[in-house]
Amino acid sequence: MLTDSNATFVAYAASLMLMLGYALSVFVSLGRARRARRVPLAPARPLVRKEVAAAEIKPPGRVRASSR
Amino acid sequence: MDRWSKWATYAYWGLTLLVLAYGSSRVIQAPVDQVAGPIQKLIYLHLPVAANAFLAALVVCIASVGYIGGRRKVWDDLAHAAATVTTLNGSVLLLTGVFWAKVAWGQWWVWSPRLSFSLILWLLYVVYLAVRLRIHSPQKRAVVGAVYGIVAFLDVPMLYLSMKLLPDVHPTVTGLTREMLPTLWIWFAGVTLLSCGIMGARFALGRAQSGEVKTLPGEPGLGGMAC
Repeated sequence: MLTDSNATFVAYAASLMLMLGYALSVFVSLGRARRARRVPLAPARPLVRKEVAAAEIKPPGRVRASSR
Repeated sequence: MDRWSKWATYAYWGLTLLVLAYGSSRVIQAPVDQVAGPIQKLIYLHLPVAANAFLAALVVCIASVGYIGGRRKVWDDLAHAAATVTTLNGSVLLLTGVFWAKVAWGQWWVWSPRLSFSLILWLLYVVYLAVRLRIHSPQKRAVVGAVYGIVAFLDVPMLYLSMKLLPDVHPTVTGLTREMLPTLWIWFAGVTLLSCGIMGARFALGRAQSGEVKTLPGEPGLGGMAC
């Protein structure tokens, strides 16, 4: 049963929870954003010779005569 | 953030929570209206959120005009922050309104001009936030948001004119006595502090997201963490 007093209490509680909950979520996001800004990216490591060789583009293989 | 601004932020939010807590205690102690009963106490929250929703909508409009004039990202971030505050205050306005309507009129909703324009205002800013989420290009998002923000503000004068010109079941006088007024002013202060604080925090988040944000590999990006 929705009485006068119940309705007033529920409306106040729901409204304050909504506003303060949103404020808290913005602060959590802001904290994450600021932390993420402070974390530097990992410095680029020079590739070793083996990796350079693996990354090179190899010419396509010849078309086999049997596939014609 | 340096140490002073950090302490200023803590002090601001401490003051806001203190004012809201004091306002809540005042509501409990406030005299009960002889005609309307305890539900009349919702007016202490209903009026401040309405005023703050309209003010935030005005900030969206001014910031949108500022963006169209100067094409600076800071105006777009301000408009976005103000739109979230308009939506939030609009939500509380409708929430307190429907509770009051249920007790006073016996039904949750009545299609009166003032209620309809309030619902349209809330929907306009919900759509504003939804549209922004769907546009990925920052420039395009800012231009669309600016034009939309100016057009959406037209609902506020229409709401005001509907109050003056159209017959409505919504009460036009608050019926507050002299001893009830301080509680209303305390709630005005609390809700305004809260709205400004949320707007400031959302604006700072927008600035942080639009800057060169570096994330660790494998971590999710910052986009879409808060609407």
